[in-house]
Amino acid sequence: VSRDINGTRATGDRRAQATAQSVVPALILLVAATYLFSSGEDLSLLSYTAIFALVGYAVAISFRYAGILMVAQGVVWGAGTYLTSLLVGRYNWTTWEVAPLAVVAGAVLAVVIGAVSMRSRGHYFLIVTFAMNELVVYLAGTSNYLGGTNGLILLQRPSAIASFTFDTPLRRYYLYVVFLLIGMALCVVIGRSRFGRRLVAMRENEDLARSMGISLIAARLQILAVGGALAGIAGVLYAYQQPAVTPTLFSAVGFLPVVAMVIIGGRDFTFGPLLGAFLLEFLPSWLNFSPLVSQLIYGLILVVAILVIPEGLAGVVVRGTPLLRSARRLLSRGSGEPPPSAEPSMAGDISAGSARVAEREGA
Amino acid sequence: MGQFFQQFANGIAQGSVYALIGMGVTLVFGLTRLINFAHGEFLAIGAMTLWGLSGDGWGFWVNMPIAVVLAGAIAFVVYRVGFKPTLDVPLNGFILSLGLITIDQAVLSRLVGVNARTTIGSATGVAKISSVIIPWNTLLVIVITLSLTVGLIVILSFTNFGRIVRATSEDSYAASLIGIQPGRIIALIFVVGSALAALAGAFISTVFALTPYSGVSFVLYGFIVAILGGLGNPTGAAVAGFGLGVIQTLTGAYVSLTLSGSITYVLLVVALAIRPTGLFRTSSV
Repeated sequence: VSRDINGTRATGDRRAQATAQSVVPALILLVAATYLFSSGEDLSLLSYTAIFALVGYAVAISFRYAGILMVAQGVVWGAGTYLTSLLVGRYNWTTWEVAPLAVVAGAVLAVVIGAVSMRSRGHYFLIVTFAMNELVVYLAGTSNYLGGTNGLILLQRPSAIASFTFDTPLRRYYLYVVFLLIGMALCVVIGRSRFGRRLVAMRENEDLARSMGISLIAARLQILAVGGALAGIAGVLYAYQQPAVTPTLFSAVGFLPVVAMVIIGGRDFTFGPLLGAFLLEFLPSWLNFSPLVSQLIYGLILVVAILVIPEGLAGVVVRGTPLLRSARRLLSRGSGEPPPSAEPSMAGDISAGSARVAEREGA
Repeated sequence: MGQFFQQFANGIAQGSVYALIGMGVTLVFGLTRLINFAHGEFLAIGAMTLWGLSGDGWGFWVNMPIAVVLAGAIAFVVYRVGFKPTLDVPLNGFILSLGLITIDQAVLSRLVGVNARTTIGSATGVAKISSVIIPWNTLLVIVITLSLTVGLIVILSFTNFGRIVRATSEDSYAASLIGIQPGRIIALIFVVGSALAALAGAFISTVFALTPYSGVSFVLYGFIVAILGGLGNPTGAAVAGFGLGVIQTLTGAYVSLTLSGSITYVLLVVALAIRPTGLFRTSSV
């Protein structure tokens, strides 16, 4: 198994710079948001935004680099939540004892589901992970130990770190933001690493990647493990934001809005999942229509988005129209690379995004 | 023993529902490669239209075709506007179908409300075969499923049109070289498959209570049946559908209800672990 080699010092510096370029603006925006949306209700929406965005990164990290859309990250996320509700609520663990366990459990669960599902490829993979997710959700609903379909209730607050407590909603929001930024940074770092480039190579041309000696299964399971770890920690945070949890919250159907959020935001852009989560949480309250009408509008937005801007909103913001794009390419020659992207493709499909590949190779 | 046969008959009834949905999925998904999770929505449209028309006094055999034609027309529009541009990128089609599910559920709930309801079927009463009791409406669903299976097999295997469909599915470029218009064939399969779902919905609603939200739960079964049966293979879908229904019912009656609820997913995972491309031959009928 080949390991990441950082290469020259210059690449390491560039990677740190790229990470800072995403994380620092995100931090500023997320802090500024607490002043713009300061009411209790808005702060609650912001908190959900942060957690959902983290789950979004868990999905996007394998989707973006390896072209693997794993719907079953829903149940991995749920595992983190249930683990927290159970161990903290029933067995009096502290948050910081559960958190590492949830990260490991999330990674392991994602790898197990991924390994079984990867026997089937392409179209089948999506549906098999869908079914695996439903299986686990169904079993959780029949387990008395896990509270059945009524689920579990956790009323505690996140445990204090030294003397720093999390007993106000604002402090809990900042806790979520810290983990969100870690997830975001991970997404950038992996994209700039040899590991990330290997995944992109596999996504673009599986046969060629294999002939270069890349172990496809191992690399795919590794990226699923990273996503699973993020989903696991997001689950821990979710247990505190959503005191009563039921299995159906994590069903594949319930998880589809997260997928939609990643797509609408733009999976190929570091800010995409965050943008998508923000819209997903705030749009219904802004529109302030009856639930049915906002559901209708939400569906219409999704349909129009995938047909008109398949790259997502972040894609429009970052790349602009084709005209702007060519202007940007002229200007940015030599200074940094455009963000990696390709035609969305199924796990195992050989993508046909040759135009984009050419664009990327220009950098 | 009479008890066993009754359970078996219940299983067949349940299985015919799965087979009927799986048939539409295997056609659309197997032959056009569109991952359309909104397929189940046509089932809901069929059922809810039938319910909406039930006050007109024309009876089931007039209202049912209206529901099917309406669903077919909606399917055509959805295909032309939505799915056609995503044919090259199946994943976008999948996301699109999620949006369609949301829209359809909102519209249907607005039009007919969210209550679970059954519709009046064409028959009343029950059939009694020695000690086994089956409602006539259920028997009708079984008969319809079987005749559709046979009909599809005959059309796909033995007619010129069936050969054209299979050729398009296998290699649309090569098919276009010999004068077939793959775009039209794919549109036709999509519309027919969706209309089939509406037909299934209409018949199922005479037996089970459905809501505007029923489509999603049924479509997952449809995909599982289609995959177990081998994509594009109506025989496989029928066998897998009936088999699943019988196994599920018998497990529930004699083993445990928990296992009965999860057996479908377990079977899918185990089956795909053994044979990653389904239990039957794929798309060659």
